[in-house]
Amino acid sequence: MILAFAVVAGVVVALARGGSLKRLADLSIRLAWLALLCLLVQLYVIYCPEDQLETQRTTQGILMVLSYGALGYVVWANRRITGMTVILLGVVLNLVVMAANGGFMPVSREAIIATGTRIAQGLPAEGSRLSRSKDVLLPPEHARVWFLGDVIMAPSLPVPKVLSLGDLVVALGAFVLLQAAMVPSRKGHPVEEGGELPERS
Amino acid sequence: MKGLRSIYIKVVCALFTISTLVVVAGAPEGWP
Repeated sequence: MILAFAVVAGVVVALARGGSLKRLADLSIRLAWLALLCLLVQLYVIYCPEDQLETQRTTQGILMVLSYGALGYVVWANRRITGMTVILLGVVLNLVVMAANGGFMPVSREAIIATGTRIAQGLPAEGSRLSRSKDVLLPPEHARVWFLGDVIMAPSLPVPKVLSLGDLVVALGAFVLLQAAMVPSRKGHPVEEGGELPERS
Repeated sequence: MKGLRSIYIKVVCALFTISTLVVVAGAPEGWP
């Protein structure tokens, strides 16, 4: 939800800056179907039945890495759109840490307890996957490239979450993309809405 | 009216695609 907040905030700020949704309608995103396929793959992994979390772990870890690789390709194919390169950086950061940890995002027991969303008694043993998430429970000393894992505490939007650096970069990229797509450039385009040339200062 | 509907559909599709990109790319604890 915190990542969806970046999209909502991006739209609201762009409208406040004089942007329009009509400009967003002109945005053409290539390979959108592949992004949707990645979403379906991740939904399958995230909402996997609890008794299959460990038995299907290797297969689902590979699926997660493949979905990130495919999403990286989608973003790369759309790099002409302002903000996509920032999103690509976020995808790569998340891909690196997840690939290094068996396809899942490492998060520490302390970080989860700090959010208050799960109680300590309900958490599985160290090294286990967490249900309804892309995460694996690992202490920093056992996680590879732990600093790219879920280590950043986010405010309650609407509930507190732990984020990775990649998540923040992706959110920033989405915000930048929406500003560039919705707000008219000060330099102006050759033909603006209504066919009028923009004033040059 | 038909043009308005077309723009509305395109805006919804663009927002849906951007949201999909963000949700798939991000990995906060306790998805989504």
